[in-house]
Amino acid sequence: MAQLKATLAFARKLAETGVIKGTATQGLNKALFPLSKYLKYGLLSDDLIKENDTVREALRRLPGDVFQERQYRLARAINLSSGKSVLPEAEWTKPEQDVSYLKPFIEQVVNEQNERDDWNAGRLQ
Amino acid sequence: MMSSLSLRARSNLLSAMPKRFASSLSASKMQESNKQNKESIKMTKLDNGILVASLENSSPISRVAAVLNTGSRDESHAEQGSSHALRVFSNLATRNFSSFGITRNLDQIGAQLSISSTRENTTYLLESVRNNISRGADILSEIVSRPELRHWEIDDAKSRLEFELEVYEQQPELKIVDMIHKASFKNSLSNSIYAPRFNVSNLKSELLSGFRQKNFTSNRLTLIGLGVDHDDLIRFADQFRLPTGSSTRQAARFVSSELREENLDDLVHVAIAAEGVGQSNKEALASAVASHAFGSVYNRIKYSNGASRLSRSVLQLAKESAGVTSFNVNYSDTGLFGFHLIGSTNDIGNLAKGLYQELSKVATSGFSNEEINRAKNSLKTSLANSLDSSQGFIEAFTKGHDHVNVEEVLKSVDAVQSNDVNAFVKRVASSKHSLAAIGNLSELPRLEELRV
Repeated sequence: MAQLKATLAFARKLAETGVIKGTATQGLNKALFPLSKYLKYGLLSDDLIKENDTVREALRRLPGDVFQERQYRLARAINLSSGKSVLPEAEWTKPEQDVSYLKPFIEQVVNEQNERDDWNAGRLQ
Repeated sequence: MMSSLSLRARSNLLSAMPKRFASSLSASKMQESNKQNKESIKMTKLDNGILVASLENSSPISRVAAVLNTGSRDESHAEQGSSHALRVFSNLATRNFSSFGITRNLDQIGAQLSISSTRENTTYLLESVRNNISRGADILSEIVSRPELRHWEIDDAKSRLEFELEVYEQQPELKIVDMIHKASFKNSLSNSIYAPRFNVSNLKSELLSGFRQKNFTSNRLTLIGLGVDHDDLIRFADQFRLPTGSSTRQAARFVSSELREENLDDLVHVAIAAEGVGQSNKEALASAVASHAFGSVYNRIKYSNGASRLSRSVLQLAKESAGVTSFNVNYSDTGLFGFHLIGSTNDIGNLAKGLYQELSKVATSGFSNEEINRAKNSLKTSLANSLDSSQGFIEAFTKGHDHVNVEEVLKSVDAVQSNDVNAFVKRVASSKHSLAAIGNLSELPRLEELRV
């Protein structure tokens, strides 16, 4: 559980301010969740987002402990996959633990970039 | 009433107008009316404690100043440097605007936003073209009441804070002001308006939010509008949603101590101070007249050593170039009255001893009536001059609502009695002093040795 404590606390704070709405416990996410493989490696869905400049900037904005937990989970998953094994079933990610901690930051970065582009193109006044 | 030494640090990072327009800007300031006296100031105190004041000055530029009655004196020991940090970080994102958005919006409406703070007050001043003042006031209210203080933005802006500190440390004339305050006051007023280096790494988002929560309260906020309609200003005041707070403030206590910073600079700065009087004290004007009578920065003759009392007596003792002035600051509950000496390593000891001799001479025989009249005239000129400009008007208003009426101010200077001024100087000469010095102090005696 050590790999998720700070992330869950952070996500609770984000949910309080209304930034994120749900986890994998609703709708389409709930249906797809048991069919996915990432949960067997103890990863969250936000851990899988492909890195580009926007995502890198969003990662820079994560609080320190959330970022370190993400690194831990990724390192553990890479290790498992190289040894062609998965975590024991007790340690698989549960749907309520699959919080969306990175998406709000990615949205924020994208919005800021859009604002800049709009001003530079003269669309805003 | 008047502070001749008010160290103000300004952040003009949000200036939208490029510097080459500075000359036309000041020209329009000069054309700005003397009509200030024809209209009267309208004041309203709102339910949440905000004081709203407006004056129509027929200027093409409208100004809204949000003045908060908080400054570096309200910092606790752990929070030292918070007011400097908030000054530097004031252009960062707010709830509804990003940092980029603030700059562009201000550019678009032709506005300029500057933050300046003293030990007791922080002023957020927005100047804009008259038609766009409501949009400017939106942005002003966001910056004052809803900054987000995101931790990564603060980390990115830290280098700006450190740059300001680097510039500050190169200037002994700025450091001497902070040092004399540190030497003279036990708490609150001893805090520097620049962040101390040892605390810079602690100035993080939570600490700054905590400082804001305690001190940026609506009962400490005054909204001053120049060239703004009074009802409009009351509407703008609605957007400044700040926590209500108590107005308790730590009282400043004077101590006599000595603060010496040694280095190898041949140009030595020394400041000697005694406890002065507060703004509302009846002796406040007498202290200002005394400072002018000795010779202050306000009655200098440019490029000369001047003909003030200190120039004619103390300055003659120097073999190399030197400078001697007096200074007087009036804070809300106390003040500082003293002297600032600049001299070379070998001269500074004689200058300091000569200063004490001159001070005791004035204490025993007092100023002559002619000297006092001359001092009153120069005080009247500098007060009237400062009330002529918008920023001087705003500064004067925050000191007291009656400090902005030019005729009354001039009359009250005239009403100062010579006896009061001489009694004040006598009291200063015999009370406890504090000393601050920076430079090559090999020839500067200790405060104890100077006072005999």
